[in-house]
Amino acid sequence: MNASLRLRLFRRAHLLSGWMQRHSTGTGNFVSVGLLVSGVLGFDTTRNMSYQIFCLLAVLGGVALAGTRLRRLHCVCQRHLPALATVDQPLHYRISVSNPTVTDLRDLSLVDELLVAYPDREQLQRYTREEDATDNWFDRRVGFPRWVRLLRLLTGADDARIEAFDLAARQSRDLELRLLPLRRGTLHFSRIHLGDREPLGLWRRELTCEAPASLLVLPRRYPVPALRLSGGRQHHPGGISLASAVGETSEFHSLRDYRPGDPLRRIHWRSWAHTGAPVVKTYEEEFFVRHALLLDTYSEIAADACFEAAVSTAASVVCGVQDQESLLDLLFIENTVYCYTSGRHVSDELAMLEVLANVQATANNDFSQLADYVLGHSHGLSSVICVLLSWDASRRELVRSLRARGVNVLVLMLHAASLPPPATDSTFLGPLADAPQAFYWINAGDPASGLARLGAGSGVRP
Amino acid sequence: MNPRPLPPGLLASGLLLWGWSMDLLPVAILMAIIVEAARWLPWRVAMTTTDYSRVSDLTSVILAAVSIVLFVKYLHQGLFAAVTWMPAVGFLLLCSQLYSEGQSIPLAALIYRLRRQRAPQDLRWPEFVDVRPAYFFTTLVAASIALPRVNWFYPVASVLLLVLLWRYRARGYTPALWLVAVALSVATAYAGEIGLNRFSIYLQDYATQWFMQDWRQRNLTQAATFIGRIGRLKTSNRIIMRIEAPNRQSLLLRQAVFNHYQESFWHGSGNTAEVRQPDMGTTIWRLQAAPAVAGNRLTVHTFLSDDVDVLALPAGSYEIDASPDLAIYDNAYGNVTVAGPAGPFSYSVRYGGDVVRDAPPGVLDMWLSAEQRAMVQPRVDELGLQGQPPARVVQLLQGDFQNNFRYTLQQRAPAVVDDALRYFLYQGKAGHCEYFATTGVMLLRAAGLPARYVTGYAMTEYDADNGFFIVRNSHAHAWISVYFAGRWHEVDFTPSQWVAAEEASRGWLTGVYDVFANAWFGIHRWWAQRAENWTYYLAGAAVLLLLGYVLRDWRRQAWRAVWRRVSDPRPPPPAMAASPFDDIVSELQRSGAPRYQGETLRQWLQRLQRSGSIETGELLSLLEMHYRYRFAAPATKNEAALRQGVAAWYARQADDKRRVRS
Repeated sequence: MNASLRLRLFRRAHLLSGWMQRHSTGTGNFVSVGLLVSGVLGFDTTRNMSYQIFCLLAVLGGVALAGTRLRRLHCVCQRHLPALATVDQPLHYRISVSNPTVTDLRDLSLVDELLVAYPDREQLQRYTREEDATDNWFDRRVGFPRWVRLLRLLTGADDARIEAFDLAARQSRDLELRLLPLRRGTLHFSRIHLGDREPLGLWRRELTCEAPASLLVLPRRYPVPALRLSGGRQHHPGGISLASAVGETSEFHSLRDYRPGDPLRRIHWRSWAHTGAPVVKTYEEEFFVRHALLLDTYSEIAADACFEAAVSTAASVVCGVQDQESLLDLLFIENTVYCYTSGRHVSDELAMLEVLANVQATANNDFSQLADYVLGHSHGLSSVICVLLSWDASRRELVRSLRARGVNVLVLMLHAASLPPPATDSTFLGPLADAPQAFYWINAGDPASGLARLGAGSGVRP
Repeated sequence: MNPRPLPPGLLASGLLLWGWSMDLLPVAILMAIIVEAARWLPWRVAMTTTDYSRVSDLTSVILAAVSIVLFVKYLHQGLFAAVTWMPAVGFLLLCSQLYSEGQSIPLAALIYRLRRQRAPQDLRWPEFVDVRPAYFFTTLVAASIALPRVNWFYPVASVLLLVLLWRYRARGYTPALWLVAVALSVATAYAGEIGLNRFSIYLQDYATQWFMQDWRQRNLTQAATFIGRIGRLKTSNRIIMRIEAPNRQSLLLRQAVFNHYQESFWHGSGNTAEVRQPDMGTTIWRLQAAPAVAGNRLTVHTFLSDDVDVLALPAGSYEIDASPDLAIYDNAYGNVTVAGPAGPFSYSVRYGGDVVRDAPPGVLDMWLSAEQRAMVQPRVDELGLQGQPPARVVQLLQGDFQNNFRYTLQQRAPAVVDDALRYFLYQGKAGHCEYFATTGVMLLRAAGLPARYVTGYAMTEYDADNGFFIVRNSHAHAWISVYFAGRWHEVDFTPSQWVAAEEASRGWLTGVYDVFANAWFGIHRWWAQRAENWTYYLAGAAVLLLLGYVLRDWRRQAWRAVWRRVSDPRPPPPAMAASPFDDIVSELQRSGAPRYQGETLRQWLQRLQRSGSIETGELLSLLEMHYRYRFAAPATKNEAALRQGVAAWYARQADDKRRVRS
């Protein structure tokens, strides 16, 4: 079947399914399935009497549908979201529903709808998951379950819903909803649907409230043991422009008399005005620890589990090495090289996580741009933590160059859950052959266990 | 998860109904006792998801095995039979729910792919399901298939279904409203099921007959019959011919002759057609030599299809007068086919005298299979046909069919084709023309007379208003051609009341249909004889233009209405509500106590406390309430207390400011 036609049919089927889920109750679903079964079995009315059940169910459904016109809802809904959420961690939030009418409402239902992101053909082609292997032949052939999985992933979560609650007249109540974020990034909430059952309890009349909102979902983090990142403090001429005065970073040290040769821009003009003699400011040069966290973003697969695990690993490392005495540069490449710095009161851990929440994979495997940038700034770096998705020549060369410049390197190498990592002998390790403890395998299916080994001696443990 | 309890006795009622229908009442009673005993017995089994999965797998395997066995035995009927056994097959699964501690079944146990799914749980689907309503419905459906057609099934099934639905009704309405809706539904569905049944039968018959009639009209080698079909034989009243007969004499117009019957089909061997040429310079086709005395004349108005059509001709036809652009074929049995441009078609035919064109009898005209001979021989013996003169044989059979048999379009015999004729001949003694003609041919052959099966139309309905005979689809008829005294004679064993019965079976819509059909026929005749009258064309074009304009304007209005509805401005979205504590945060930030990026509220307040800028003891307790309000479970929230606390804090701040000012 034509691919675009198939995607259109999938989309229609999804819309119909969503409509049915919102408008039909559990009893309604029962009646619908019964209608289908009795209709098929009773198609030939001369054979059996299943068509009588079909007729009864069909008329009940029709009368119930007409019954939805009996009452119209007049309610107000307000959504209260927390600031942040985390992937795979249930998110609890509330929606206030108020009933300004004089009618007691019973058996209401509520669906909080997310803005659906329909996958396009290219995304579907690039999307492969381990779950695909569990599909049967027909599902693999048609591809609808795979499409639904990708749709859920792109949308970010399933619609939160709550069934069968009551709302007294002129009252409002808070409903607690549960939602499970399936991916990092921004979740876009669109509408709140309030459903009211008709007398037979088969269908719902719907009230839709437009309530657009968004929520940032942070990548999943795992516990990381205290990292013993070796590497001394490096000289940072001029300090950090946004740093406050903490520890050895007091950029302005004192005033002294002018000596010939002092640069004019260090003259403290106000003191000169007070004393009548030139006075200059003195500064203390800054020496502190600066780490870099290099995130490999090259992936050809849409919603790649390995890449997601790499982001989670980076997020875990960000949370693990953060202290206010050192700087951490987060480096990655999308279309260009990005560098975000935190530590010593420059930005913070949360800001780094927000950045990581929005990192996207890139299909451009030009690692040299990122390598050049890192090597260009290697003079100020104490150590580099590389979260890598592959271990090819360009990446090995970067590691080799960094080590040659005296920068300590820790490599966290991701491998797919379904594939065991290759043997990590000295040939494989290449530039890290003499320091195998700086190389760690991280299983994309279980990053926690890999991260738990950090700092526990040699990292080369498949 | 404990599902909503079903009404007591509902499952047992479904099982008893199923047992009654399957003649397994003792088993069903036992099953019902087991099912209902779960309400009182305190014992429950601790089952894991794996246990449920095993039970589900076992049920699936048994169902598949039963389906395969029944399918192999009864082909597609076996699938229906498999449905009737489903309550027995699914009983173990039902018991695993009723007697387990969980009282419900994990969805993953029923859907195999969910067991292997490692993705995060899909919140759209329930984790557990209640199989009891589905099981109950299965008992109803199984009973509906297993039971013979009985009048009490609909009320019983309705009551049972409504008892189930009562449990799941919406609670926000009065029960009276539910009862009204249900009563309305049941009454409408009762009328609907009767109508649906009739409509379904009508559709099936219409489709079958349309196919078969169409086939019969164009096929000289094979004719399908409705022998063995149960139910009412619905015939279409579509007018297919209008015949001008100056002598107004009723006739049988034959189309095809067949000589070999097998499994409800008549076959015509040797019906090879040869092309006939018209007389030079005329439009007259001569089928055979004209009799000494000039015969009668019929003019037939009908429609030609774009395929080869079989002409309906009276016996003894010898001359056809039709349009010149036709190809006419005939064969040794006197069947005439015609090919020409599709559309209205008229032809005249001359017939009469002792003209017999049919080929002399052959071996097949005397042939009977062993089963057929065994079937009719007792009747032949009973009537004493053997050894009688041919004319006497025909007379005896005519009398027998006329006096002891009845014409009907309704068959109640079992739908087994092979037994249908036997049932007709010895038990039912009622049927339509195909039964009479087919058994008549067999009886004549068993009595030693060559006989053939003839199909065609009976020309019996005279339309005095228009001055022609009307031949409808329902006038399709079958009779016999029997050979004795050196020639073929046409005899019709169908009791003569069949014409009256056919007329009585017409609905009141037939008259309405006739009016339109005659008007359409008139238009065709007018078109065929049309003159160059431009006034009519202009008037027709003007009417069409006016109609088009009105239609277009109406559509625009409708679109405007739809557009208005869609483009109605939507109400603005409601503003987001926040925790009351958020106001304090904003107030403090405005008053010069900024909160650093990444600083939690608690850290911020503690920093302010350390710096001595404000007293935060009260604020920290409010912060606790704020956290609970935002993050804790609903039961532990106390929004009112938080609002009071915030209001108190504001009041205190206002007092302080007043004091400072004073």
